[in-house]
Amino acid sequence: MPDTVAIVTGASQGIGLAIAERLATDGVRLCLVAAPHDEERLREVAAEFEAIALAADVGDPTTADRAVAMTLERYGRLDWLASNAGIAYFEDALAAPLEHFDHTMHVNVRGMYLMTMAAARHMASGAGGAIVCTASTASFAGEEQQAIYNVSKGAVSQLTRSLAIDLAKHGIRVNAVAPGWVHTPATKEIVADPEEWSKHRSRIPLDRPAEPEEIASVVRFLLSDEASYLTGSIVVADGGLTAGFRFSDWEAVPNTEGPRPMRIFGGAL
Amino acid sequence: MSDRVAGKVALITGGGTGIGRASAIRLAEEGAEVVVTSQTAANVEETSRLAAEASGREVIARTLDIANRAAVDGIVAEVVERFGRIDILSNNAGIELVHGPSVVETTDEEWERVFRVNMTGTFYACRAAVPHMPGGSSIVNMASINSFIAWENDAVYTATKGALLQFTRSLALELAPKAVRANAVCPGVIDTPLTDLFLDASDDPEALRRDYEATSPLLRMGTAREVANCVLFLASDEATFITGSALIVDGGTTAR
Repeated sequence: MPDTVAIVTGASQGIGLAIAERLATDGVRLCLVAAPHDEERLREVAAEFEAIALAADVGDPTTADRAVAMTLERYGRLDWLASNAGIAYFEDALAAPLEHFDHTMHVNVRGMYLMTMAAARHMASGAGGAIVCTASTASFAGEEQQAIYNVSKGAVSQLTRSLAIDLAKHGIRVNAVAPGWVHTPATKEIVADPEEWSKHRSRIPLDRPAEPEEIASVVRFLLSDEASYLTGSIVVADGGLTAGFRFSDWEAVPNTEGPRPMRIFGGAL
Repeated sequence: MSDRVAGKVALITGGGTGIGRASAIRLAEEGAEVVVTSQTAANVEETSRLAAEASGREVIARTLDIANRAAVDGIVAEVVERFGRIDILSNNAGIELVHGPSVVETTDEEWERVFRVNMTGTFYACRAAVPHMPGGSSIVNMASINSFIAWENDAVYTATKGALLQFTRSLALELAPKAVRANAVCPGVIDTPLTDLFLDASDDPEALRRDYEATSPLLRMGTAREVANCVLFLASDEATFITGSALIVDGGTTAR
């Protein structure tokens, strides 16, 4: 039996893919879940990381139970859950159809809830475990053109806190990472559009989006025993986006210039 | 995980006991060049010995009153002269009024002393160190859940911790163009010598200990090492997109 087994949802791309890659690199055995329309890519990812895979709708009540059951059948244990699957529509609040509300809640809230509860039920029956939900700066901020998404991520932060309290007695820690802008397939069109991106970039003190690996490393920490006294915490990883306002540097930058070179380490000072 | 801060130069203030001591040990274990300070020589020398024993590395100890600006500037200058830079600044020096005065009972001297150590001292250390911190460096200030919530009869401590978080956020905005990060760790009730002072001062230490443990849904106090793990994480390259954040390590105390 492996030492550590995790389920990762939304694992076929973006942050979830980076989480899967990080955990696989660290020797964690994986069950990867992604939406049916992304099954082909999910299979490729699962093959690369020698993981088992389930392409199914997380908002369907049977999906979470199937994921837990197949994990136990294959590996005999379940220690960690990265409850990550989520979708977003970028649109004006007045233009958003009800279908977008229902779809977003189905995946981001119902899916998050079902997956988290199924994993927790198993963990509570055994040695406990650790769960990390993918929240967002939208859990706290009224982000523009994302009213529905903001509501859904507010729910994720409350689910995280609530389950942290209720599951503590079962030896289960529940935390969340709250990313700001991350360079993923979901955001690549915005990041690649100089005019659109300059509006967002100007508010990020680190002056760049996160790479998915920089969010995966936070999830990795929260899942690990290094975080043994963290539960109910929502760790903001947003490059300073929600720390405050800066007026100094950005006004001089023409909105048409395009993204600045990334400055991760030792860059232009 | 190992060597997570290998080769980085770390200055740790308030490292004589508790969380600061554990942070010095943890950073040394993971490969940092550590300089640790405390106002009490015997304490910081013991931290140096423990950190060296745990890591197999030399750990430099210095006595420092964090509220003495000239002394803080001097320590920073010494570290820079020796190592050429500072990659990690971990500020932990903090005091609390154990006799728990109400606001009305708090004297001018008490108010000013707690602010000078908890807030002004961290300001001194950050102001002196920042010019010597290259891109990729990280400042980790020890705040508290008192940055968000209050305890009764602890107003000055609570005020300093609120101020410290806002100072840290401000610093994060200023340092971001240099790719230097600044974050706060916000512990709940941790089993440290500072906590022992409150227990020792209590009429019923066992009852107070149970109260402390019950603040967390995990039904225990945190350990200094569990907080030091958070310092290490924020100081490391695992946290490259985290700046201006408050990392709460409270066993769920403030989630409910």
